[in-house]
Amino acid sequence: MKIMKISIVLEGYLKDKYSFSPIELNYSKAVTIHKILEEAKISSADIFFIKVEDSLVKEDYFVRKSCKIKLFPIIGGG
Amino acid sequence: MSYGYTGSILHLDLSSKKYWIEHPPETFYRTYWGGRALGLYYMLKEMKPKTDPLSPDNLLIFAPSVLTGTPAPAMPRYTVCAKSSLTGAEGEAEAGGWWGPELKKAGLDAIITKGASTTPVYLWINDGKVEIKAATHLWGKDTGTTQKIIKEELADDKVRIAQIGPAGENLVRFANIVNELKHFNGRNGLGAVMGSKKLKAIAVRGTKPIELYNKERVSQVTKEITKRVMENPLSRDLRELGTLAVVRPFYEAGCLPSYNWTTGYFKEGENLTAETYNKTILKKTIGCYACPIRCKRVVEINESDLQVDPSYGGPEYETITSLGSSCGISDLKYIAKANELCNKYTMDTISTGMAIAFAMQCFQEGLLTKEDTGGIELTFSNKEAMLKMVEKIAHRDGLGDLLAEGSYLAAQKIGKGSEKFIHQVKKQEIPMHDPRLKIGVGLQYALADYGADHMKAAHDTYFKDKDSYGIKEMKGLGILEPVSPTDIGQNKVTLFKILDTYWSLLDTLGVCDFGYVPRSVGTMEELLEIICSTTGWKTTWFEFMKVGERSINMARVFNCREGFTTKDDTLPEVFYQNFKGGPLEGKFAINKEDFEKALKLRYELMGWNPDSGIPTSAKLIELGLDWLIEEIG
Repeated sequence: MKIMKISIVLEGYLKDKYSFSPIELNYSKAVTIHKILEEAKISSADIFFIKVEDSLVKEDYFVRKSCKIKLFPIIGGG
Repeated sequence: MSYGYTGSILHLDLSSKKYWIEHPPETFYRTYWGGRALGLYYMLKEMKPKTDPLSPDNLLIFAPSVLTGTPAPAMPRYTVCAKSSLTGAEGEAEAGGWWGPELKKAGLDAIITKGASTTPVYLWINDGKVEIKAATHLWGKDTGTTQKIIKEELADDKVRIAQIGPAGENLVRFANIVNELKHFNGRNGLGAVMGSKKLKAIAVRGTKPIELYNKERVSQVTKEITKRVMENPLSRDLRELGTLAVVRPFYEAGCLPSYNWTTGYFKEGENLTAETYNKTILKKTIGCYACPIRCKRVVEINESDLQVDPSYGGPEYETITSLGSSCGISDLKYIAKANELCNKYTMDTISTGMAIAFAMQCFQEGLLTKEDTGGIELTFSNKEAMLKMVEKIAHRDGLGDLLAEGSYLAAQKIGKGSEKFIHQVKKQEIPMHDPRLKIGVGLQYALADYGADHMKAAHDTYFKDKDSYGIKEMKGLGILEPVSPTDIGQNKVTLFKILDTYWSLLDTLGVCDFGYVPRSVGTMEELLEIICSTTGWKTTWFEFMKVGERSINMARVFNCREGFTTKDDTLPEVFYQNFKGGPLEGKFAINKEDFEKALKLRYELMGWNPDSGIPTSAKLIELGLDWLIEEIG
């Protein structure tokens, strides 16, 4: 069974809050972004945009192959 | 007099050069508190409707508030109000820095100016003593030079100076007011109003302490908040990356306003990110009075062909985008230079950038030619052209004279269909947050009394999830459930009624939005504690929200009597279209019908007539504003 290597890259204050970047997780079958965040212990409340390679996706997106996931923090005004 | 206040308001007539000091009763302060509400009170009482904003009859009001100058974090702010020369509506802008606290220490809660001097003057306020001094020798000088001369004249380096530069003197409709060269009452063209009065500057020196009811308790709460500022990633991010932190997410998502809002996709966005900024032009970060967050940038460039003086600070997100990607420009050095010029001349960088971006689009579409531009090839991405236009606007030279009127009036003059290239609300150019991804921000753009403003309420993103910071910390205001940023239903409208009221309160109290929930770490409980410990008043969030609501209704009445209607509560057409280009291509258009329904619901929630948008008599009576009933007929 081919193992999917998921690399999570954190941007902005997420790097500071979660104290690591990137992190790597391995999966043997398709998995949602939501599940990946849960396992990486990253709160959805902190995430505004999610990119899988060059595409913007939502948390219900199924990851089916090794890839890089970029997480961008919530954005306020200023 | 109540603690936290001086009990004195200066009224100054620049025509007669006479002044007097008012000592309002405590009930006045308990009703209006300061800042925008105090300013609106005098604008409604003492200004007739339909006053020309650039006439002597316009008031120009500088109003700190009860919390301005307390030693607690993020409380340096003061409001400047007038009828706006750009919009013709209520004009208002808050600034941080050092001037507001100094005015309080000098013994004043506000300065109300009317009339106009026949020759340039500056005001010198020294521990309560008021002098009107000649400023003919300062007229035409940039802000750095003016500040230096005034400090030398007054032989005191600790004097704080609020002033206008040549753009204000030249009545550029979006000219602004600066204090200490880096802290701006940025939008609405209040600098032009100051210029119309031939008031070059207000220099202030104060040595009296601001009396607090319970100084020890204020100090304790301050220490607690300050400790968390250092520990919390959200506030550390503000110091580390500043407001530039949003560039990377917007650029990578494809919603960075670019090429005059024709697309959100800017290929060279990496060049504008906070990380690139920090590596290339950032010299240091600085803060405002007593604030540990230090979110402000200072840049320095010393190249043979381009220099940027760090005295003028550095560009923030709005500037990077309005004078950068909106104009198709990705060279940080040129954007920093444009920022320096805007700060020297005192011009709102958002309106300046958007006016230039508008002109660039007109040029590309053949609606403006090289004859109109004085030979400048005014195409998108021409960074030299952008710098030349900043100069031309400040000095009302050639095409600059037209653009100095604001993009709305410029488009009226140019015609030929150029109107479709402007993006404004109530004639104020749209700021650099795309409301298609944060629809609450769009509601606020449409409803803001003073034209489109991205700092009218906290953004949707803080309330998107049950664990969102805004949901966790603001339950006391009735915010219990998350709402998606792209939701436009009743829950979103209700949420933003609360958020608008809350931030209107902060603008009334002299508090920076970057210090407290949901944008940062200070809690609502701490804010309440600071206010009670400053004033000695036993107050609650119920009273506070009424204060916020009061100022919103006062501004609404002001605008109604100026002839503004629900037709002016709009969004630019671009936001009713899908994104073009980049990862968001073909998505996220706001549904116009849904948006208009949301506006109508908002009127009802505010206690306004849902068809006319005018506050009802009952609402005004509830807020102690029955004296305004006759204004709305």
